[in-house]
Amino acid sequence: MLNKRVDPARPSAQDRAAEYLAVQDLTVAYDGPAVLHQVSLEVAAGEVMALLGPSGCGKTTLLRTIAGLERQVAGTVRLGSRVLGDGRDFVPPERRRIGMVFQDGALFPHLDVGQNVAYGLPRSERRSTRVAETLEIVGLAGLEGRRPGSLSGGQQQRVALARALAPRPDVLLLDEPFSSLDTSLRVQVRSEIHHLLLELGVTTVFVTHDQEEAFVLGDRVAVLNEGRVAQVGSPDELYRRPANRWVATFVGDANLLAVTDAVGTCQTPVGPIPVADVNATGRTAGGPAELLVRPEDLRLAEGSTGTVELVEYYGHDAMVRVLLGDGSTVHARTGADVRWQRGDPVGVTYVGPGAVPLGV
Amino acid sequence: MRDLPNNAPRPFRHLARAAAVALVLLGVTATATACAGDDPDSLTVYSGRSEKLVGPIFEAFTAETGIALEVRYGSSNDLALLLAEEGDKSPADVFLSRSPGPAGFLDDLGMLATIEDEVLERVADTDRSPDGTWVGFAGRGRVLVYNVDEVDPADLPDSVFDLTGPEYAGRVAVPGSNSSFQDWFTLFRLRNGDDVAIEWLDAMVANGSRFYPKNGAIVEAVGRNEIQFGLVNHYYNFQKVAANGDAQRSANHGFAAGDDGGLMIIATATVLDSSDEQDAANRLLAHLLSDEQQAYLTGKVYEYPLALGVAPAAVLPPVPADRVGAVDIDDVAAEFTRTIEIIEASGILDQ
Amino acid sequence: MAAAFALPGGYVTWRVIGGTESPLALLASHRTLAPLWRTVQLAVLVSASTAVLGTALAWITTRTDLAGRRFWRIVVPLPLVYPSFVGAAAFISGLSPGGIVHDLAGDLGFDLAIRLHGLTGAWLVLTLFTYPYVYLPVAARLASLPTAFEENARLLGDRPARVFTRVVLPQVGSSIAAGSLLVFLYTVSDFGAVHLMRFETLTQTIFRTRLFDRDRSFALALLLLLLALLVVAAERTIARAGARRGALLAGDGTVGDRRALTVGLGRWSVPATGLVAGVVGLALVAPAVSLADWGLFGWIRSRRGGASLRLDWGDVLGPTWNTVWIAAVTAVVAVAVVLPVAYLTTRHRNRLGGVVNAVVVAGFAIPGLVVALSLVFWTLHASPFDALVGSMPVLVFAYVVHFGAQAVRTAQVAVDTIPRRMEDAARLLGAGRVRRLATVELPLMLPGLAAGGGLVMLSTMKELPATLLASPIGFRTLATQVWDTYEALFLPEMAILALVLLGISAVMTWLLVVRRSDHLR
Repeated sequence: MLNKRVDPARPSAQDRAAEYLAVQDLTVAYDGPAVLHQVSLEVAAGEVMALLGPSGCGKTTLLRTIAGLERQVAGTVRLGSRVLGDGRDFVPPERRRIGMVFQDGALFPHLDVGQNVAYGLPRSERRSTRVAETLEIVGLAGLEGRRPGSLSGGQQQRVALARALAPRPDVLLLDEPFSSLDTSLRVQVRSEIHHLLLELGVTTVFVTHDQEEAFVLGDRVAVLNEGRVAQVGSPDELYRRPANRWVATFVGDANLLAVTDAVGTCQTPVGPIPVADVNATGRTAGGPAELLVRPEDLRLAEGSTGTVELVEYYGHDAMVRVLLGDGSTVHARTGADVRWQRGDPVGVTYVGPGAVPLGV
Repeated sequence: MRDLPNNAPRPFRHLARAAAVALVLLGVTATATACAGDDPDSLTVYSGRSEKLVGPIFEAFTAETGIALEVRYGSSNDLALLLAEEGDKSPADVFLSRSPGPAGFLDDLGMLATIEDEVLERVADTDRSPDGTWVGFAGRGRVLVYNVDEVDPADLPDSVFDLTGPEYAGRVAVPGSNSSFQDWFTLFRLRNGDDVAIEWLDAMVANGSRFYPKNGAIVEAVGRNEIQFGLVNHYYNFQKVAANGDAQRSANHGFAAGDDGGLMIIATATVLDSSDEQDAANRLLAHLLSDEQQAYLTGKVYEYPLALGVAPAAVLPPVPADRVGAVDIDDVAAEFTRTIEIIEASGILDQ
Repeated sequence: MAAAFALPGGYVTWRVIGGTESPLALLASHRTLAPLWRTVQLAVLVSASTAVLGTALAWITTRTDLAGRRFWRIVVPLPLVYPSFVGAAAFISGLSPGGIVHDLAGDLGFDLAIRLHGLTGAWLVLTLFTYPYVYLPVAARLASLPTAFEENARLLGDRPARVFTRVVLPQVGSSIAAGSLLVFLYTVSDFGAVHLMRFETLTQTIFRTRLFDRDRSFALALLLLLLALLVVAAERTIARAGARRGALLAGDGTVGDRRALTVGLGRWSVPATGLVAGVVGLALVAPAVSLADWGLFGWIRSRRGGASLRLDWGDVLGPTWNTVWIAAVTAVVAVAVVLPVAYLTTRHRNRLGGVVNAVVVAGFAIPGLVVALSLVFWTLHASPFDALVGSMPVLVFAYVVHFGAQAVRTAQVAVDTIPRRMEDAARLLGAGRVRRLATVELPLMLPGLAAGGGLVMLSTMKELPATLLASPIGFRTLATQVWDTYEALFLPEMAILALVLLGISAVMTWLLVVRRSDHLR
């Protein structure tokens, strides 16, 4: 129902092919050294792609280069069959048909909400019902006459979204859209917008430094580190089969247990652990490695593998840090009914499907 | 974010274009009015005398002759510089100056025409330039202004040389940078020789005379007893009295006849050599020197009339015997430069 | 564009080279060095005192709960409109024995035995008449700054005074520097006040020698220009260093996102009101009272059958209208002309931008007489344009060259204040260069541009030598009429005209500057 009313530009059948938005070998540099090194990324039509990474990793630069706000030194940005920029030719941002929502919304303070939303529309449409429709979509019907300054942070972000969506962009870019909101508001606005993006089916790329946000919203997630793509995959792939140690620790809590020959079943301080056949990059296991054991793969029971050192209670679950006999520690996630206290002896066993070996 | 050389905004061609169009439009209307200067029925005057003083004279001229006058008012020195810059492209036909200095400056540049004898002969030959390039049309006398509450008229000095005496210590204001004062000092110097002039000025400085920049400021200062005496043009006190009546506590004192302290500063009229309207320009000069306008100048504006046969208003101090022009100055610019050097060297400007 | 601003400098250089005396010998003489030293002394003192005064007034009138803030915001910038010779003359005669202010104070039991002259007098008078150069840009900047930082600092327990030094000052630093620079250049080029205060600065010497020692006069004008260029370059270096330091704070906060935070003055409200009222009293009211005294005296005198006022409606209305429209046109043209310069110098921080900036800003230090003469010189020597001598475009052009500097720094600050993301957002919404300028950048820059335009406007309204020499013949403004009556010593008439000038300045300041800067609140 929503789709019919809003109708963001739907990619043609041909564009729907696997790579709708394609970035190839993109290198971006300011005056100094490169900020992005030969980054490649493909986003399918209708897909929500998250760009995740620590600050300074280049994720915002990648987003801005897709938008045309930065120019690449080399590499190509393609949207369907249109080349938006390839080091020589360059389509300026105002002609890319790309919508973008900025961190703090960047609403025009001197225009009212309606004028903000109408800004990107062709002249003929500015007075049409399009503005009201779009505002209704984002749940702000009737606020046309308000000044941005009089809206709450969450409302401002939704106006910014409406402003970006109104001209029916081919791609929607979101630059840390929730980071300026309070924690409680953030989760609420996030799920509203998540719902909306799914409803509209608009191809979306968004930037975040928050792993949870990336996993919740992203159909796929590209993890960036130091200007390079570390790994692209579904949230599950990233979590379960990270390409390397860095990704493993960046996307979630990880116990890394050193083994001498990662093949078959390995003996570890927490008992025997079966090694998964291959890691995410397809490398066959074997030789010295670290096994990735997520805290939820460990089960605590009566026993004496170690001593409870710290209990962190979260409500829906709890994290227990156990000091092992060899002096190392592991984290285990338990249910909400924590029976352990600091100082208790405890037994730890591996219950996961098999641990991914990561190169050392 | 960083600077983005590639996406940086381009210059504002549209705004610039709009501004250019606006300027051109303004120009069209303005040149249309400026062209009126070519009308043989009008004259362009650069006037170093203020409109409030000479405006009525110009109006009377237009009423009599039907010749319209376009007048640019300004300070005499500035207008002389403007004329020098405009050269023979100047729209000006006639230039009126507060004193002969600016006229001499233009004469040195060869920019002045010779005035018709008929006009020149309206004044005594001391009131016109020997080569006939300027003619005086009104005079202001150098006098001593004094505070009437502090000074007994009986004690007033006969000579400007008396002012270096102990009874005047710290009590006399000298407008060292004022052009009228410099006119006077130049003449004073030429009549008495540099040595005497320098000695007098140094003695004034040693006597604690105070520097004031303007005649008007001196008359005001004397009026409020900030200082008791001042070397000024007679004209200012009349205007002050006209404005303030009895509240103005200052009066003019003329030095004894023949004393070097008294001097007439002559307002001069000149015709530009580049003018195509020499006849009409001379008519304007003749009008300035007509009995009627001379009577206006002395009766309403309290200046000394210069046309022969016109008597000064009764309220004016006796006519000073000496006037600028009485001494033939070969090189006006050089002499004035020398005057400025001496005045600066005396230190009076720092008093 | 910048080349136009270089015309006066080119003219002066040309004249110096063409002169008969060696410029170096002229410049090195003690007759040159003494006034140069006095000029620098005075300019530094006045810049420093106006920086303090202008900033304090701006903060008090924009950020506190001072009673009658809107009124103060209109009157505080007004002393700028007194032509220097009128303001100083009225000021001196009002405070001197026999002057109305002195006598009123005497009646109240105060003995104002003030003998103002020399450095102290020039310093005081120039400070009182030029602090608006600091006040206007700083007030505009404060009006457009987000208050979040100040609020945070307050929440963190800082007292208002500390908030001011730690948070406000770094944010408005560049505006203060910009304003002080204008004050410096104004002081350097001022003639009227130093003349009346008997303080021999370079400009005084230039004027004194202009006719009979033109070589020296032009050499000194060149010296003045070099001094100005030096100071402009120094200020730019400092401002850029400051900009780097303040970058984090100034950031690109949303413009005028909320009502400004107001600081409760509490027990400070009396001293604060006292300061504002005292400054306005000295700089605006005292001269105005003297003027009113003169004007009223003349009016009463004519009523009683004495000498009638030599002034009729035609003497007032025509010049008033001319003053209003020429000042408004000049302000708009000046802003339009300096805006590209501001973009060039803020967005492309390269050597060219620095040169252009220096050339434009230094134009303000050249006396109006020299600006007017140079434009006459160049138009006469640029063949197709010689017909334009003595036309409105040349007059507006002269004003813009002379006063453009006053709009440059406020425009630069305004350009800097536009959050880059606003432009990015507009671009991504398909807006091209022109539409972005018209719909996003100009509206956001409006308070800053209006403040700059307001400065140009007030300066134009009082400008004298350029108006007298470069205007179409017969073009009268209130300033020329004030001067004319002053020259003739028709003080009552002069006073009435000066009060009219003051009145319409107040109206135009309100219309163009105060209302505009409130617009975004």
